Amino acid sequence: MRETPLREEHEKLGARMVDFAGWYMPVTYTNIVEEHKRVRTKVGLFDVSHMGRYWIGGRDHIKLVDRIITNNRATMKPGQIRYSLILNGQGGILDDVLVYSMGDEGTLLVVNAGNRDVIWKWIERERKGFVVDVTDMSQDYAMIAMQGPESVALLNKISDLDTKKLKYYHLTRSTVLGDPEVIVSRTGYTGEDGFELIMSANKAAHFWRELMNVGKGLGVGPAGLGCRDTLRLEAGMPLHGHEIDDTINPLEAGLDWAVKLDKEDFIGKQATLDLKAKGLDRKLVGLNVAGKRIPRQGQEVIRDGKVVGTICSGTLGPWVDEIIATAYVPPAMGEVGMTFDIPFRSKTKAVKPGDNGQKALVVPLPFYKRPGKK
Amino acid sequence: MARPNNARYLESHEWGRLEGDGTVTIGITDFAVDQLNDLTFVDLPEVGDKVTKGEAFGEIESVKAVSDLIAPVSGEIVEVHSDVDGDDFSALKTDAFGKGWLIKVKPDNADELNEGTKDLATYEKQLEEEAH
Repeated sequence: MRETPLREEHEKLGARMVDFAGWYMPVTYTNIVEEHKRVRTKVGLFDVSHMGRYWIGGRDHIKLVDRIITNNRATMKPGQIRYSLILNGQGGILDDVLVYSMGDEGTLLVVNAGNRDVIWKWIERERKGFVVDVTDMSQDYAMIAMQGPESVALLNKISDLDTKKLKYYHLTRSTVLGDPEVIVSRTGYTGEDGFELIMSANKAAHFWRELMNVGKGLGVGPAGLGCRDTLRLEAGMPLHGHEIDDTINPLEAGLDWAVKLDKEDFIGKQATLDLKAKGLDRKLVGLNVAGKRIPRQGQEVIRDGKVVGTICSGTLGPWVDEIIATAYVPPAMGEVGMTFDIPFRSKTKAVKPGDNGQKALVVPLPFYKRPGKK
Repeated sequence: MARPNNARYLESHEWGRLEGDGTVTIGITDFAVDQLNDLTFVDLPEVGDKVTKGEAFGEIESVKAVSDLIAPVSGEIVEVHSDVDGDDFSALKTDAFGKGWLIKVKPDNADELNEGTKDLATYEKQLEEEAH
């Protein structure tokens, strides 16, 4: 199993470590609910070093990036970040990534841990004919996310950066804890305000300890992958392997806004245009589920006794305090207010006649919006 | 929490204890409760149902995942912990080997409880290994 430079810090904090996409990562330090609420009310620290960081520089970097991503790199200002998808030729989603514009100097792609190899090979395949330098910076750098309403105060304690000037989905190179080479971005995967810091791998443990230390008065605490998943689901953000994968098109996942069909050619554009012309067979919806049990990935969604869809993710949302789920259903059934049945087969009790399981109601995504956010 | 010496343990973290009246009390260990930590639902069978050694007699669900509950002995259920079945997990969290029991079984053969199960020392050795 691969490990991040913060492994020892996690173990010292008593984390429960698990295999996540081949990485030895903390799933919880205390429990999901507590860590989740800390991020919603204070600030939590996440080790996201396992994500891939690929640098694309050289004369044609913008052209290459615009060939492989669905969003528009050419129109990005230096210091801007955009969410984007990388599609295969059939329009299926290979990964969802963050694209960091370093102006003419280059582009940084931050990719999911589980898709690092797939995306690296994809870039290697597609770079032919472009004058570019591609570097895997993942191992040399670590990445710590600080997320929650107190993250601004926490960052102010360790850097002179003017956080008012660093807008959502922007980055800057800044001096943090005396290190002048830190990339600070106002990004995250929790639905809260927050920052992600990219620093040299050998400084990661120092950063982690300092953040834990100076953040004490702000209620800082470590946050594991367990709450990362419940936070992102409440915030309606897709997770590759659940809401999106290489058989699902962004239009089906409601990610149209990240696909610039008016952009010059990119991989997957034609397939997406074809799908748009033909019409969708399924769309992603948010479900509010009555009852006690949590629907899990792959579970059937029923309407009028027929299987009409499949669950992508489900959880008991620790903040919204409701059972929430995402699912693919036919577009005609995807309107807010539609209801479905989710059958649960008890291991112990026979299903009683007329027991259709738990009711699920289509609700707007996201399930949670932070106060003050439009 | 002191784990009882007079119980038998499964690798999957259930315990079974032969009581003076010949029934076997079955539960899950404090370690399992701690690992699951955000419990949301427990599905237990009903009095009169049969359980089979090595097979699932119910399910326990947390925010993160669902796990089977495995029976350490075969027999007929004589009592079910109604609090836990009603989703009150407080006893399970504070007293996994006492008030947090799950089911009581009248075993077909009480000796079966010792077959393929672990004593406390062996189980705790497993926990040490899992921690690394």
